[in-house]
Amino acid sequence: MTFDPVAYAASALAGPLLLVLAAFGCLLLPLFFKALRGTQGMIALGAVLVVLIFFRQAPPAQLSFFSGALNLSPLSSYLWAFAMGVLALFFALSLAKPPAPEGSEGEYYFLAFMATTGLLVMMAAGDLFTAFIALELLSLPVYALAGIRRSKPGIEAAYKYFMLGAFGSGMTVMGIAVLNALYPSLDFVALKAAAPAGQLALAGFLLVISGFAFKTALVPFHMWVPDAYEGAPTQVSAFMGAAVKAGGVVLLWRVFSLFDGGPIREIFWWLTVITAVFANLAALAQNGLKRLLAYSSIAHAGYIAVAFFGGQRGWEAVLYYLPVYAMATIGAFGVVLILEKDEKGPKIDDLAGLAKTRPWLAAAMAAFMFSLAGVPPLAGFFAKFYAFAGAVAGGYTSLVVIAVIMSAVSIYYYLRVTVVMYMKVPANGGDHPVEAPGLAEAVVFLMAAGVLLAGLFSRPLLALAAEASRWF
Amino acid sequence: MSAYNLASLAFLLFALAAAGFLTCGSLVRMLMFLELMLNAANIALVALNPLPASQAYAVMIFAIAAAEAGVGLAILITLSANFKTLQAGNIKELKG
Repeated sequence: MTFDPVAYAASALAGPLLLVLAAFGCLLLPLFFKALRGTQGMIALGAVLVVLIFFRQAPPAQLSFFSGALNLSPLSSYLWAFAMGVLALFFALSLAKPPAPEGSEGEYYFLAFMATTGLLVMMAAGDLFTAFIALELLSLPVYALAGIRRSKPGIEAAYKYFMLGAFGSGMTVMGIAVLNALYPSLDFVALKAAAPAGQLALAGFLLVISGFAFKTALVPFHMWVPDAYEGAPTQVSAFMGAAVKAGGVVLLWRVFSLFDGGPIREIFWWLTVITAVFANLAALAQNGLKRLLAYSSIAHAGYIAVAFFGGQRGWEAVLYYLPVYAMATIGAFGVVLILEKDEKGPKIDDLAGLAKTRPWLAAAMAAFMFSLAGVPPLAGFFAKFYAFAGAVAGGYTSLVVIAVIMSAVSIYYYLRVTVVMYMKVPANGGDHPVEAPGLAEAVVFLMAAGVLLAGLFSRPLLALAAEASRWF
Repeated sequence: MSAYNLASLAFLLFALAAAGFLTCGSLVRMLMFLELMLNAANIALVALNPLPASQAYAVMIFAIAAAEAGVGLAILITLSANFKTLQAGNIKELKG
């Protein structure tokens, strides 16, 4: 059968369009049909599964649409399938324990759908301006999602996230304005082909990179992360860690790859080092589990940035890293969701005795922690290995040495969680909730199986990542 | 007034807004400084490049600024209902 680009585009672009449709469906249908009230979650999950069907087939080559604003390729198919998978898991967690107050379920799923639409467009964006618009479409709903409960911790998280996120957007717009004046087009290909410009272009790129680094949470643009992750509903924290970060990574990588050397690479080098060092040291001092995971997410942004330096092998590593990290993070936040008694989530010491009261849950949590720490044979080890191996091959040995040292430091705080679960005697007899929503447990155990299998049998996922990375 | 005068105005406005954002403690003012930053960037966008595309970009950034103001004001209203204050220093429910 010959490949028909028009038919392919119709089916692929139907994905994001269907998401928008589902968003408005979740928001408006229950207003008109009383029977649908409270069932938005089911509608949403169904819609996501339908959309996933549209990504069965990747195009054989890169297809450009809207005069280059949107590029569909095996790369975008891979990233889109990843984003939809994260959204499905996010919805499953939201269904298990509804975070939205009664009557706001419609808004909750609407915002999640719109954010994911932005994420999809951003991952396929062919020029800087489209990428920025999509980034705003991703960010604005997530600010609102963080504060959906309208409670003290939630709304404080939302305002901190909003203020710093919007500040980052302001910088990005200014950077785009400068670059727009200096380059004939904001197309990524055209930007790369254009002759390197002077100081003003450097300033423009720096503004753009700072704005994107806010979203990816590279130090020193990370101040919002711990508070936002702690105060937001746990499901939303999981979404921020897995999806929003992945979007930021893709954007940073597109800007990074415009440069083969020079000051921008040097600045990235420093960002990476500071991120890896600071995040891991700060994580050592955390007592709250959600804050620990927040610092861990900053640290992993640093490891992913190490992979940027590996060229082609680095892209491959990033594409393998994103789903592996997402599985461990969503799983860990799933455990937090099962155990949490208030919005700020359990302290690490609250996990004491979990191995006795809920042995399987403790085992799953241990798997997530070891995967995040990078202990073989779990997937996190191979993700880090490929990320670092690429950078070594690219000649950035000192960067990798620092990252490996900080990764060793991180074992301390990941291991601490495990030690508390298995060895510490609980002060209050370990009153962990015995009854947990089945769907949340299903997600947790699915993710645990995922980090184990993606580690033991890393070939299939790695082959997919390698295939997708060739289209960058 | 040449395009470069306009651009310098935009850069100055941007720098003032960013400095104001970082130094003032009132969240309402911070929101206003955010809008000022976007508008400064918009001036730079149209002043530095006369092509129609950049004007289209500017119009889209208006829309984004409006959406941002909407979400921001909604967050601030809920915030003030919860905390009875809009001074950033007084809102310390979360650690850090």
